[in-house]
Amino acid sequence: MSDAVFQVQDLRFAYPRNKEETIKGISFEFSQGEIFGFLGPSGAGKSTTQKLLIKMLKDYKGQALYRGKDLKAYGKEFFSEIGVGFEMPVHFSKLTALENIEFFKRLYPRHTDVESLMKRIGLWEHRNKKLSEYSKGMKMRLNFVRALLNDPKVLFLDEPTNGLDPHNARIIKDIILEFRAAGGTAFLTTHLMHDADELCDRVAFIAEGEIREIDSPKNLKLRFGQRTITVEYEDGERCIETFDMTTLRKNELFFDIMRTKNLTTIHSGETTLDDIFIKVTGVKLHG
Amino acid sequence: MDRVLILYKGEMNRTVKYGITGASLAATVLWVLALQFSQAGSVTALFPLVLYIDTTLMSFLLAGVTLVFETQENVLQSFLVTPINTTEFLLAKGLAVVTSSVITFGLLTTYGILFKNLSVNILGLLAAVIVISFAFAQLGILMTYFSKDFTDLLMGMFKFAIVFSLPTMLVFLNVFNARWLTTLQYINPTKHAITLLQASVFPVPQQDLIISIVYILVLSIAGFVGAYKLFDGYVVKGGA
Ligand SMILES: Nc1ncnc2c1ncn2[C@@H]1O[C@H](COP(=O)(O)OP(=O)(O)O)[C@@H](O)[C@H]1O
Ligand SMILES: [Mg+2]
Repeated sequence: MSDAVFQVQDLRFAYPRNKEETIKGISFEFSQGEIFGFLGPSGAGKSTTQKLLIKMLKDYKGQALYRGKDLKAYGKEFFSEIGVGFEMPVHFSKLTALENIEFFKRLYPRHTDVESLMKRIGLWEHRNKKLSEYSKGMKMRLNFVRALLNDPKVLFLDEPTNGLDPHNARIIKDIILEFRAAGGTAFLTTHLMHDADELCDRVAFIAEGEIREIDSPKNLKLRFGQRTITVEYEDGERCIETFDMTTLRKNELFFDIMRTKNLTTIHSGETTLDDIFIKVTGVKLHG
Repeated sequence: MDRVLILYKGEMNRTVKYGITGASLAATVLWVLALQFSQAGSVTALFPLVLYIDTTLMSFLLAGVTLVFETQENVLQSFLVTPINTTEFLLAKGLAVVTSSVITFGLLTTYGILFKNLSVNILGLLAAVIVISFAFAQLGILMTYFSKDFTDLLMGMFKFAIVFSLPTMLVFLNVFNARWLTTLQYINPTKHAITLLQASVFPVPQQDLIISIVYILVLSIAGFVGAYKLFDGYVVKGGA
């Protein structure tokens, strides 16, 4: 693939003093304009993988290529074109939000429009508050501003909607989708099936440091999901029937109900990524 | 170099915001009070001792404390994904610590000259304060690498003070200066710090002075290289 942004081959990593590898030989790649998701439960190794890709952790085995060149061959200029969102707050608590942002902004050659981004994300009116007065959700939103600060070409987002209310999560997801529409590439980790389903072009299922499956959410559902139609109707009493979608057009009972019964509800049941995750990895995404 | 300046300004700004400047000024006031109530008609003889404590232990602590804050608040991670490199980061931190020492030095010297007949070689002292402060800031950073948290760093500093700083003070004040101790002192970084400071106040054997200059310069460079080399390892294990 010529427009591959990252190509990772048999990546392995063990934290110093840990005997066991946290990342056990993973391979994947993602391309320009793609949102690539890492979906897995807490402790699976998502954040560790992100830290490897952003050169924060260096003593890995295997190969990681960024735009076709060994990641290790890049100097600090690499950071001018990537934006990183961390999973925990990364700001000076005794400085205001704007002081934090302005300080880091000066360390980059290119910038985004901080004011309009902060306005959109609802933080501009709180720009002169110290970070110690910020709520957890506000800190996470500022992390997102921090990630976009240098107008990056590639975004790394570690659980970007974690701890956010639905309204703010929506805004963040919209901005991510706009970023892709403008040609941006993103690596996104999450344990939230909905986010992965909505945002990602392709997702990798990661459990216990291994990738168990990589595909688009749609293909995963086609391959592993059961697509069903559940029909509820009145026939003297309340009746429920469930049909397999793939054989639906040959199912006489279904058409018979459609023609003759008094329908109350019809639901299409798709298996969620959550279900598929358990099926593929044997591990639950939550708890 | 632009980025070192930006980082340096950031360090100075945070020194104020995190109350470190306040604490440092409070310490200076205590020194002034101590000098004020000392019986000596002139504080000249005591002056190197006061500067010694400020430029060694305060620099040590200051460098360590800011790094601990940055680690605890995870901002170190944020630094790591910018185009700045480790040299720029550590250089800015060292310069900020030196600035604090120079400010304290300026205040104490002004007080001494105005009120206590201080007569010293100011430029010589200034140069000594700068290199000593930088060298001990590196030691503070290195100590932080091996500390779990702030308390751990403080404990480390106390151990350092007892093992290294105390003997130097005992010798300086002529409380205890057995031959074996004065000989052993040649490996003690704080001994060379006080020799450098003394040299601008009263005559010091030239050979001793040269040894101390070389020692402190080597310590600055070796300390900086050490802080640079161990930085990545610290980042991996420390919260980052
Ligand atoms: N600095 C560290 N030192 C040692 N082990 C770590 C460190 N950070 C994470 N781990 C371990 O690595 C595993 C994966 O962690 P992480 O990548 O944070 O998972 P995730 O982001 O998927 O929740 C966990 O078992 C965690 O305890
Ligand atoms: Mg994580």
